[in-house]
Amino acid sequence: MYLKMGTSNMVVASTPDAARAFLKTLDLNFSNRPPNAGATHLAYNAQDMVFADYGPRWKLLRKLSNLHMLGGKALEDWAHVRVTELGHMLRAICEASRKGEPVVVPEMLTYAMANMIGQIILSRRVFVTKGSESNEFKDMVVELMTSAGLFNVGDFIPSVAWMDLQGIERGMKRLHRRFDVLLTKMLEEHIATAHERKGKPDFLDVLMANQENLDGEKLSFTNIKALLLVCLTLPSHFNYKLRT
Amino acid sequence: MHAWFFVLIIYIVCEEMESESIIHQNVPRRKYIIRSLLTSAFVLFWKNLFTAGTDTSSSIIEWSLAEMLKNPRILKQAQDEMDQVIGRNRRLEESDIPKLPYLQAICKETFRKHPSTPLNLPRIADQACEVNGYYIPKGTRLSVNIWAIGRDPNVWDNPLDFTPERFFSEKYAKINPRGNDFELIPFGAGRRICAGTRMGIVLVQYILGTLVHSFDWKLPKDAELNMDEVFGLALQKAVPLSAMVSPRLEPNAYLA
Repeated sequence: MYLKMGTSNMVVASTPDAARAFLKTLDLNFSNRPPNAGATHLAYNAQDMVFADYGPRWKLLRKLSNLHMLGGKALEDWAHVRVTELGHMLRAICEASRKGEPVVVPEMLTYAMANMIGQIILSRRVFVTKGSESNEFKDMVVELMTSAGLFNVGDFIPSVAWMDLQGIERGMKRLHRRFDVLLTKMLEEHIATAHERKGKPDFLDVLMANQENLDGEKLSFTNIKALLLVCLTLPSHFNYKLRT
Repeated sequence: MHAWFFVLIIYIVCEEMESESIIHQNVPRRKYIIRSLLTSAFVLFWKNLFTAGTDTSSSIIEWSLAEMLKNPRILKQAQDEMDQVIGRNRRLEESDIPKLPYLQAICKETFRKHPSTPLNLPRIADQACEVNGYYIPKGTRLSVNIWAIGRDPNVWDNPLDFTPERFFSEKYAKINPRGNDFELIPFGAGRRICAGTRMGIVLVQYILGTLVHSFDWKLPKDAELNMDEVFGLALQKAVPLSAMVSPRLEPNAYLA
């Protein structure tokens, strides 16, 4: 299917054969993301960079994440985290069952997954019932999800969808300031306690250790921080996208 | 699942790094950087990805449970298989999964019918090219309609039915969702295949399996099951699934 959307041409592959033609035969030619995707965000002091090029840095980071989080060996290494977090979830469900309350499936899954990711990356659970800092984090994530959920998402044409996004900027800024304080604290804490994880590094430790001279590509402190930041918050917004 | 984000963030971060050469351990600068990231990459990221959609294993699990609530026979059959292989004295473990073909089929069937990113993430043509005799100009965007492929009547018999058994038939038995069989590509395919494909499959099989094995699932009294989709770049259930559960394992099995 060939479409003309605004000023851009678009093809849609809707059958297995078409998908094979594009993603296998022509894979290399289509290995980049549309470059204009982030252009409208210049107003937010962001550059046109969401969908960066298929290049050495992309490869390095993909390799690192495979090696330490997503690949087969890495997945085995954190199998115990899945077991533990699922245990927490099961007990929470039992509790609901005992009280005769319904279980809201996406909510429960969101918590479990956020905790898993938090453990792998930061060696800490994000959502716990006790402990004010974690709960503050949780409240902020929920608030972020809520405000982001206010978007009139409308369409799956990104260039159109983005035009609706301006409204929540103010609330976002307020949230950023709060996130800033909390995350800076979290990050500094993590650095200070690195020695406690000797022999059992989490993903953040691994990234820190890989800062330089890996295939000539470098990861700066900033890379690592931002990576961590978004990894921590993103998985937990699952399911809230269009509902809040 | 969220590995998409993962990879995308990395892009952002790289660019950020290029624009400022950062001195490690310089604290005020670090704070500045964090702040600037929060206001740039972070906002951009949230906005983009909230709209651009999420690719999520929890959405798969939710859809799968909803399909089983709609069709309790499937739930029962999955539980029977588990009782035989695992019993009721302990929780499901990841090592049990290869022995649970019906659970695997349920996961595949959910990936087929309810892919979490129905239109994949867009790509772009670096050069002009030709596909099946059609000329594609340079700079053309490409979307792959994963959702339509999973429901293509030329490929799938009764595509709107949720029938895990189809993956036991000769015709579909070899199909896997890992990006090699183009009939089922919930994670995309090729170089830009979801970096978290493997993790997504593990999480879905393990968590869904555990939930099905550990509990009986019923709709709350007088509740109707709403199977509406919210169709955006991510395919979510319009109404979050809420269900009543009752434990079906030995009480001790839940403690560990």
